[in-house]
Amino acid sequence: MSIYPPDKVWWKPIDREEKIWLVIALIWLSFTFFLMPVLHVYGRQNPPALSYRVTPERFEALSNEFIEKYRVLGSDGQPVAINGVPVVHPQPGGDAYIVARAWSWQPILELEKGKPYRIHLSSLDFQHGFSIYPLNMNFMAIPGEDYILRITPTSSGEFSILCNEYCGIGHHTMVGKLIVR
Amino acid sequence: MSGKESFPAPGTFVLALIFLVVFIAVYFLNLKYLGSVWEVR
Amino acid sequence: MAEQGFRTCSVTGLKVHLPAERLIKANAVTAIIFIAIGGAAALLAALTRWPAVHLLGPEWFYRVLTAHGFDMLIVWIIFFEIAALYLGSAVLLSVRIAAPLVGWVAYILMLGGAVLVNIMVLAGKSDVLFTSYPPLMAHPLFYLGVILFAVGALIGVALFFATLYKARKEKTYTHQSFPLVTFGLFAAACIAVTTLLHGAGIYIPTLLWSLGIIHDIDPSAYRLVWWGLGHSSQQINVTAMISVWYLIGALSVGMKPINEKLCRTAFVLYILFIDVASEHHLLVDPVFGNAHKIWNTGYVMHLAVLASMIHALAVPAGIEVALRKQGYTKGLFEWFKMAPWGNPAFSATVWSIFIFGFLAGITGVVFGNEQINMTAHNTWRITGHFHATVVGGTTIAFMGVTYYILPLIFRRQIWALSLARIQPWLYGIGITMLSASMMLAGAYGIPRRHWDIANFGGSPFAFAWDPTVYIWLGVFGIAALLAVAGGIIYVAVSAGTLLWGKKVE
Repeated sequence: MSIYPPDKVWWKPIDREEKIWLVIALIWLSFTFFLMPVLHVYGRQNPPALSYRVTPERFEALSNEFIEKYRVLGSDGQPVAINGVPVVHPQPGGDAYIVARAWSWQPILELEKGKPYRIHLSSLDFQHGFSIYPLNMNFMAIPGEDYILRITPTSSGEFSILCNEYCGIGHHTMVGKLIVR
Repeated sequence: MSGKESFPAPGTFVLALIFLVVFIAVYFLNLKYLGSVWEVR
Repeated sequence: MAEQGFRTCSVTGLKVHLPAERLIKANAVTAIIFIAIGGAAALLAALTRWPAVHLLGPEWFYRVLTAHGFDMLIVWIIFFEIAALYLGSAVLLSVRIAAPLVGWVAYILMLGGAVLVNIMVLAGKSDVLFTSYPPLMAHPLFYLGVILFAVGALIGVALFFATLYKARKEKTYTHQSFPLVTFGLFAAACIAVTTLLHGAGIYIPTLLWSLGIIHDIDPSAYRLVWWGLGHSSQQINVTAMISVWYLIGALSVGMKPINEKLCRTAFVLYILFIDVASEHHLLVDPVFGNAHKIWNTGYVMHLAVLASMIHALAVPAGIEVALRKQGYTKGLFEWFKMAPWGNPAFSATVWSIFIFGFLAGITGVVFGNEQINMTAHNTWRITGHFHATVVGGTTIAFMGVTYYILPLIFRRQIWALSLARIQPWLYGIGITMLSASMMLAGAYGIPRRHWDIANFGGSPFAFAWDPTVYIWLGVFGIAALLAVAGGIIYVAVSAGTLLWGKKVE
């Protein structure tokens, strides 16, 4: 019994069925492991690993510059904003910024379907979780790190961004928007 | 033990194989789900 | 005639060192008190996340969630594990515990730390949740409490190692080989050392930061080291849980592992490879490269998964062989039908194996895939996964072994045995439904740790979820009530046994 010391000789050969199980498990687990690097070559959805150190001040300045440059103007020539958050139309193939701070997402990006973007994601204060609904894609926004998501939207419509990392008492109010045309 | 001798726990072996099938099914279902989201790298 | 300071157990024939027995009792009772506190917090948190009830306001929701995480994941489970370590060393090897006084020092440090953390959280001074990610800052005493607990637990683990050494020196067991259960607990203790060192390693600088002595804690570095505590502590649980499976298997059906070599090798694989798996919390973090992420969460973790798959066959196979020996040999599954289902420890073990395998193990590997993780990170899928591992796996197994500890260590017959018999079923069904519904809702993007998914606290950007989500949220609410009912019965049966259980012998 497993509560008493084993027999004097317990280093015994493994029987056939246990060996079969061991081999099946090893094959399956090797598959699930090697699939990860293989998906980096053939897959279209891979977690980004490109990031730079950035101070929150510098990131805020860069994102403000970006917002000024690409703000969407309405028919009256005035900048468009939804609930006070500016709407920005970055250049396809170019850089875009998403700023997380307690407790808002800024700006509202207006992207074009099928075009690639380099989205810079960072936080100015706490750790935040960047989650796109209803896609359910999730990335971390961490202060001090400029995380670059090379994203190509493949569906259009209005998407919501919610924070899914606890960031203080107003965490649940931290919702934003993303538009793909 | 010789290869001819039968496994002392055949019921468990069947249960383990059921487990493996469920495992593989859930894995591929999730890969399919992953394929439906935006392209990102 | 028994040696002085010992008694002989009439069931197992083992010699039980009485000071070790007192330490086991103290740690086990404290564990059960904290599962009661953590369970009350669980009920409040679940009733708030169930949109039909939405009980608490945001302050108290996040506060209660912090307490729930800490009391369950750390306090309940590590107190119980320390009790299991003393049982696996002093009792199973029939040796004196190396230094009972040191055991009490460890106990007081752990208890003091746990109480301090709870006071700081419930006083509203530390609304940082279990992860306490900087730059969110808690009261310095919160961090101090965690450090005291970790140091106390480390001392307890050291006492376990010292007791093993004493048994070896005094040759209290045969053939120079530990029983398998002790060997498994030894693996758990090795993992506990690295885990608790990570805990001290991250909370000491964080304490200094909260006191203003250090000016900056790098959030990414914090995440890397903290998860060496946060996830690795769950690896102690896995290893201890599997040892408990072997323990209950032996006590309930007289199970013998079919291949000692394979089982022990699997435990060694845990020691070597399981810790790095904690990096799967960082798969969608900046800073870390893809190769780093794949290596840590994939390859090495999969050798640890291989170990789990070995146990997944070995434990039920051992039970099947033992039951077949008792004459239940018809067909493939007569042994399963005729198993001792009336024994709550046995049925708890079967639930633990089932939930840990089918719900927790599978989703662990799937969500740990570097790519798939993008669709799971920080959603309720993760919460569902770890409720299956820690609650459906470890906690149910520990509840099961309690039904042996009560008669064998506390020497009292179980009070209200019929209640105890339904307890694993109620709890098992509740947790199965709970974690499945969390994972299903999470697949729609429902976030973890969120006070108000229905209205987003009145945010102008509030949006409506796919209505299907509300079905799973309803199932979640009912499941939480079932699980809490099972938890209440567990605490009530344990307390009732200590108060009114008939004395054995």
